[in-house]
This record gives sequence, C-alpha cells and structure tokens, in this order.
Amino acid sequence: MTRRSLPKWREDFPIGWEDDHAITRRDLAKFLTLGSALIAGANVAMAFVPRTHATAIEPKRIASGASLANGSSMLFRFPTESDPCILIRRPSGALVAFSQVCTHLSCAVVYRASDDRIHCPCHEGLFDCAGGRPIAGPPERPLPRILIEERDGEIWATGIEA
Amino acid sequence: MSLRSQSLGVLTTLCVFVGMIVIVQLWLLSTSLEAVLGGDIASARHGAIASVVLLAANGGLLLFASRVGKR
Repeated sequence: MTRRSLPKWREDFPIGWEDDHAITRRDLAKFLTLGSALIAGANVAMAFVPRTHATAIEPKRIASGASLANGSSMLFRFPTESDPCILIRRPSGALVAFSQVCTHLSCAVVYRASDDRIHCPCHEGLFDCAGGRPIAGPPERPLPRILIEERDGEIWATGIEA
Repeated sequence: MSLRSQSLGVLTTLCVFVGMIVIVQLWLLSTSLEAVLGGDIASARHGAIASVVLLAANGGLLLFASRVGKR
C-alpha cells in the first residue's frame, strides 16, 4: 500500500494497533521511571535536608519544687514551644524529665504512677523512668532526657541529653 | 516469533520490573518516613541511598527499553 493510497485519517494517525501497544509500554516505563525519580527525590530530601535546631539552649524555669507531689508528673515545653516534655517526680522523690515524644511514631507518652513507668498509649510502648530506656512494645530507642536542676526550690530545665 | 512480538514481550517484562522497583521504592519511602518521625536519621539515610540505587536501575532499564525494537 503506497502512502498516496492511505485514507486521510491514517495519515493523521499513522500508528497501527501493534505499534500503539509498543509505544504504550515504552511510555509506561518512562512514567514509572519518572515516578521512581520523584520517590527517590522525596526520600533523599527527607533524609538529608538538615533540620533547623536551636544551637544554644537557654535554661528555663519549669515549676516550683513543692508543686509536684511524689508519684506525679507535669508537662512543659523545652527548649522551644514545639518540643513537649514531661517532668516526673518518682515515688522515691527523684526528679526526672524526658521528651514527651515517643521514639516509635511520635505519640505523646504519659507517666503511669501505678508501676512508675512511662507509657505510650498508641502502641503500648513502655519506658523506664530511670533512664527512659524502652522496656516493652515497639519503641527501640530511649526517650531523650531533659537535664534538670533544682535552684532555690525552683525546677529548671538546662539541656537535653540525646 | 517475529522480531516485533519479541520486542513486545521484552518491553512487557521491563515494565513489570520497573513497576516492581517502584513498589519497593514506595516501601522504602514509607519506612524512611517512619524512621525520620522516630528520630532515626541513619536508617532514613540508608533508605534514601537504596532508593537512589533503585532509581539508577530503573534508568538503566528505561535506557534498554528505548533501544528495544528500534531498527
């Protein structure tokens, strides 16, 4: 069949069914590779783009020492208003403080006075109160510890121990 | 078997491979996100490196696909 004898529509769309399938597969591979590039880019951006952290941490007054009874806790934010933390006075009277963000999936942990443990209600994670180490559930890393000091009856947060 | 039908078979197989790699990359992205949210940046970086390697494999497959069937 010569080109002159082709119908008009065939001149406009010179691709046969079989060719059409071949082009579709090749285009599909191109689109999938483009998607692959986008996913890889998102993964690299998430892992390598540095996050802004406050370089200098200012000590912050949390509460008065007398306001926290043995076996109780209170929440505060340190070093910025975006960083929730939990201050715990253990039944022994010892004061400890940790980040309130669970190291599993960032749920808020709470103090459970009945067994002196820190509990994550999302996935039943448990941390010990002595060092914030994970002792049950899915979390595998300890809670960041907040360094605290008692000065003249006031409780101050002074730093973070990662 | 004609050369064209052989090319179609090769392209179909390539598409399946590329699709499987994209699915693995999606899984890597979700686990990296979980690691970042948990503060484990090292694991997220390993996931990102693996994702880039898979992208390179996809690029190689695409290059091969662009040559298949061309006369």
